[in-house]
Amino acid sequence: MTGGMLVPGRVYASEDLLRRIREDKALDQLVNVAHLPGIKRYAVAMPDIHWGYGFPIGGVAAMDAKEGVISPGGVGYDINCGVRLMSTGLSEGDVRTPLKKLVKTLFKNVPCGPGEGGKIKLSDKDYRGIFGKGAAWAVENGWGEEADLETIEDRGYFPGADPEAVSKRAFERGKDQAGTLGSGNHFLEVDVVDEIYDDSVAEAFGLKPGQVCVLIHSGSRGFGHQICTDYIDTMLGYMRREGLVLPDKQLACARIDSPEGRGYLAAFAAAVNYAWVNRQVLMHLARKSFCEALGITPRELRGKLVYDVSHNIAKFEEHRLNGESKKVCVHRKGATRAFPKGHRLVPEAYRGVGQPVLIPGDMGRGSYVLVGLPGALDETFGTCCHGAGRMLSRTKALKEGKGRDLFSELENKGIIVMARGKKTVAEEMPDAYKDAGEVCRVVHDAGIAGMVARLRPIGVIKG
Amino acid sequence: MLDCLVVSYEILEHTADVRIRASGNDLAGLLRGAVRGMACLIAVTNYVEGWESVAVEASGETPEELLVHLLGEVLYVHYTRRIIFSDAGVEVTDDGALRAKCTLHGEAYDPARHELGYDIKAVTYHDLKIERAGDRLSAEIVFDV
Repeated sequence: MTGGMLVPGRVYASEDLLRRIREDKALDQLVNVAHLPGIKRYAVAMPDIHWGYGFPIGGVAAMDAKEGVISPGGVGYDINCGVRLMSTGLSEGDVRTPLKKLVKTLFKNVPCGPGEGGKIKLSDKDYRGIFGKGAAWAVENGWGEEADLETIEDRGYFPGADPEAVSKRAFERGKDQAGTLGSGNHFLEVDVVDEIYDDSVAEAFGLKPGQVCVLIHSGSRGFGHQICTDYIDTMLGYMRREGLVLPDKQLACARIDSPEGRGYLAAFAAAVNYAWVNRQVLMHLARKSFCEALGITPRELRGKLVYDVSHNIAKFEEHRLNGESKKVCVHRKGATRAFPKGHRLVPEAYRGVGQPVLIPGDMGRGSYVLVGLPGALDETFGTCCHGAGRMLSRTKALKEGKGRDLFSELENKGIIVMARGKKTVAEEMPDAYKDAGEVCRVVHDAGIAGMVARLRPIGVIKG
Repeated sequence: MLDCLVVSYEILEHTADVRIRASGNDLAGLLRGAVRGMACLIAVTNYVEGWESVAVEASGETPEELLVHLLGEVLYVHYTRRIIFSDAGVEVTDDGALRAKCTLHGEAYDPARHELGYDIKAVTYHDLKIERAGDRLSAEIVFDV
């Protein structure tokens, strides 16, 4: 521990991953997080930790719900960025021949790309519906089915959203972005269940070898980005007033129980619900595209939401500290909730096995489905990793990709990729990421989350 | 040396996000370099004409805050009006609080002619420090993308 650290840091990694983690400033950022007032037990780094801004990506911090702080940077600009997995009744053979048509149809129907808007134009009434109901608002308006809500983290609703706490700018930036993918590392993938590691849990999740699935990664778009931007400034004002000094301004925070803290939480809740609506609409567009491209009915598609996880979020949860149950605000910045079987917040359908954890990998080597284990509650405030974690900077990835036809390279591996920008594919190429399998093996071996299945991408759309 | 003849920004390494170093002869020059750097991240600036002018203003308690706020204003104009930029003129005043008046030069984004680059989510304060090196001011800025 260094001078201002209030708690130690704890890193989960293999020897090889640790060597890579030391190559950038991620561990310095973990040290900075341990300075935050009210932090409990330790600041945690998951094996996919990498250099972010303020918090490291793959960082977890639990703050005392009474005395602790809330930090918008500990959630990130993309509030409730997350992943959802939809299984289908199709097998690889059903989509292999019409795969190009399917990916083209998805690309046509799913708005993607920098700043791209969608067909939905949100009125004030719509916003109020989103804030008050979350994903259920989307279902009520025809984007999905009632059953979808059962398997979204917290049923796709975060209470306490207040339109008064949201700036005009956030409303303006969000008005046409519900149901849009965005850019960067966001994607919509057609995957095939390639390998099963745990038969009984896979069965409970409705996954079987050769089955076609859809994996969607997106967040709260410009709406959430603006809310975080607004409140970092609010928090900086609070810190000046209170004389609170931290090693990095990007960690700007305020006591949870302060006007600034409450204001942020009310706006944050609005963005959390917005992101759930976004992913709900995106899944609906995916269902529609499958039916359109393959000439099948929704009944034949059998598109079932396996789960939807948030990996940029702060949640008020009860955790055991020094033998006592205590309410804490768990900041998960690039980290996923991973509750074990029996936990009351695990949807009923999965309570006998544990909560599904979705770990997107790179577009070449695939993604993983895990299940929360008791070790997560014992050691990491019920939290697991969130992805592969970048290994190459974007500039290095662009250099590596120069002169290579990455679209053809991936197509030769049986993966059809469509993207708005060629640069996006170079920056997001498989070589830019750590192997998600190695990241998952660390949390598996640590007893935080167990490996259930591996998904192999066959079609990818990106912004 | 004329400011326009000096390279006013460069793109640096960062694992997950995008980092640039902007510089200028004074604070106004540094802000201009930062706006140009960000414009280059948003779009392929070689093909952007300066047909439209948009005025934005920002203030800040510190030069760093002024920089983040000004870039935030530019980002807001880009996202809500779908304009991309080629250059900017910046004036800075200090009447107790630092203020920047900025005229952005650019044109409406046209997918037929322009390729967008990064979907910048925000301008961060991470490790942000305006420093003087010789006769120039410079700052490293991390953008969340």
